[in-house]
Amino acid sequence: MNSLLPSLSLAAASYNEWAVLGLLFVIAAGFAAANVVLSTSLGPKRKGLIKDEPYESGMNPVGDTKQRFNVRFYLVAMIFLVFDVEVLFLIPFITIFPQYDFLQLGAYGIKFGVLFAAVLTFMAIILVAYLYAWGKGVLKWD
Amino acid sequence: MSQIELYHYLAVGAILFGIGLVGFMTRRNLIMMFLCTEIMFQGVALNLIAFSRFHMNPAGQSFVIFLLSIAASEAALALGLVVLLFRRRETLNADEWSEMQG
Amino acid sequence: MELHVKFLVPEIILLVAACVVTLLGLARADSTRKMTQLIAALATALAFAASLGLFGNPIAVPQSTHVFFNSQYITILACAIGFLSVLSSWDMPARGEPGQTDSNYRGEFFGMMLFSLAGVAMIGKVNDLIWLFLVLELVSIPTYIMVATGRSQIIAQEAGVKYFFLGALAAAIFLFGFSYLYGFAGSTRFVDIAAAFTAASTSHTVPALALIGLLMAIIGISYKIAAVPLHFYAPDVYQGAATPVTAFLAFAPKAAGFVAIISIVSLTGFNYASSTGSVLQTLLTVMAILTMTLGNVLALLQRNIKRILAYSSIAHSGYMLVGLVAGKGTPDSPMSDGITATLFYLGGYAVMNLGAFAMLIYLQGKADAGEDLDDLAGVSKDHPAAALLFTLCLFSLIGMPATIGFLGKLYIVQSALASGHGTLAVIVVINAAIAAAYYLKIVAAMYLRDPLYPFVVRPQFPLKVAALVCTFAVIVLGIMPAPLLNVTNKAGLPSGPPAVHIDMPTPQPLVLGN
Repeated sequence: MNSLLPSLSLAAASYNEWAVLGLLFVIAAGFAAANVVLSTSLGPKRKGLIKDEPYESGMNPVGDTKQRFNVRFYLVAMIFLVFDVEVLFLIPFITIFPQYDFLQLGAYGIKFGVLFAAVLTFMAIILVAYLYAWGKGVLKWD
Repeated sequence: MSQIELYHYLAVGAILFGIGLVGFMTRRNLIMMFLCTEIMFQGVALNLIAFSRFHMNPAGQSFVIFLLSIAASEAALALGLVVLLFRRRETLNADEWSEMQG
Repeated sequence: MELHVKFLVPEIILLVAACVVTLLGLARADSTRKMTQLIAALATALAFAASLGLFGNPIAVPQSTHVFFNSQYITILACAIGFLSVLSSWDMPARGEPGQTDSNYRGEFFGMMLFSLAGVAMIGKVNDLIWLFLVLELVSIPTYIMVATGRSQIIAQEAGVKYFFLGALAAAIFLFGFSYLYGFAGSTRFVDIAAAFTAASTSHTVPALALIGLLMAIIGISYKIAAVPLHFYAPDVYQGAATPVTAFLAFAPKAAGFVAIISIVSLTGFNYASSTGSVLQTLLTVMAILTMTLGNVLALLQRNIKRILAYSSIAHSGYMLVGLVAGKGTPDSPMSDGITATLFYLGGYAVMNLGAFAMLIYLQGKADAGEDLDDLAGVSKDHPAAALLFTLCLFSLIGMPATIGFLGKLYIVQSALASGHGTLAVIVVINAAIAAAYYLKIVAAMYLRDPLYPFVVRPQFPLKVAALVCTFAVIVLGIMPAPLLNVTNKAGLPSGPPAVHIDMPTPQPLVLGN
């Protein structure tokens, strides 16, 4: 290997540990295959109009599965997608939060007040986005 | 021999990037094309994480958080554009969209 | 240590205004919603004042060793052109016919414009790969929305989708380059990456990894400046977007992209003599020649004015890349500084191009009118003033003497000659001659033909102001370029630590489990 990039050891170094994983795959696949083969070969087979219908919990099947969803689902999906990821930014803050005394220089040389103001600014910007979505009527469902 | 080195991560990252690039060029469905760019982003994220671990430098990990959030906002934008387009033309085939020539 | 937020006053003004404008656009009262562009104009004017340091805020960002330009210049340019862009898109977004404003979406439109401008204003101060990526996306993502929602024609949505999808692809490409640059240096800070390049090139051990990173970063960002190889979207997107949006597209992503490319190239210290530098210079040379030639030749074939201006935008990117090929020059001859020439040309192009687009917007009183050359036939008969302003801006785009376009090309050619790229200088001059043909075609249509039908113009007062200011600047700065040159020039800047810099803790090996 190139001397610039020495080896990066992240995982176990022996074959034996991987062999266990391989065995797990073999057992899992074998169990599933055995079930399918046994049930098709041993089980009784009867065909008919009602038997061939898809099973819908005892209901009569209605309509096509390819229905167009209401556009509101997409709007909620969009909002969720963005806010969901924004939460990610709070996690680094929370992890270093306990190391701080208020108004004291923290472990990373930043005053707690500065850090807290930064997080509050971040939340305020998110709040603007939330207010926008609210004002646009995305959260109203009817 | 059986150790997982930096090169393996970089190879997977580059392969993901390549799959995304080829998919973007060959697919004609807009959603598929967007998913291909997401695959390319994930390849980049894998590179960054591997380098971050290799150099023991946390900047790469924070880069990935920012990258994911930008990818999410692009996904939201793509979803919005795709819904807008589908309502106007009832198709998501990129070849159907050729009003402009020249 | 301290966060140097005080250097970002203009950007903060723009961002706060963007939030306010976006929320005000939701107001029930139509009169409130109609105020949004007023607030946007005020905010850009305030930010302009702040970028000149009128509020006592510090303007001269302490430069780190890698930066070769004055970041204040980009901030001033972004705020000034932003102000004029707001004025020239006064009645946006259009519903159906231009002039019929869809005030329901006005808040979004101007909010997005301000977000994008804040990104452009910030890009000169960037000193970290993560920050560079975020700012490039801050500039781009709002423009995707502006293209798709700027007007209700289906062609605009098609342009928006094309612009967005290829933009996401380009972002992935330059991000891949960034990840390799990070992997090479072990740090995202420009100072560290530049130090790693210096160390590696003195010991002649620059790994292929770093070179691939640089090349992919530049190729990916070439999308933003509409340069070969990622230029092909420009004609369709420029044609499909509403004209005020097109005018904005020709400025915001291009300015941000050029500063980003300068930053990336500056990581190698513009040391074109090294093996890495020579590969980089070859790439930039090929890009410059292909971009300007392709833009100019294809522009000759067009009849749609927005497509002509799109190809001209590609060609002008090619001219600006020549300045990058020339590099930062030698300290004893200031005219050999290609970076200053590129930045000067960027400012000049922004002004003259916006002037030309403002006149095009003025002449587009009806949807899809004023797009074809025939639509402009005989404009000088009914609207002599408009035709004159348009012609002056087009002359500047050609590079006629006594305009800013001439000086821009002059500095570019000078820097190319001073750095020993005589062939490249000749190609620039030949291209400028080719370009004259299609610009003069527009002028000829306006002056030599008879009108085909009566004109409907957009009579907005702010639009006229924007066009007048731009044309005035084109002529005045073309005769007296000193003010613009002074801010462009890096001379006399204090040196010091980077503007914003958080010390990362010494990392501990991750311990999982326990």
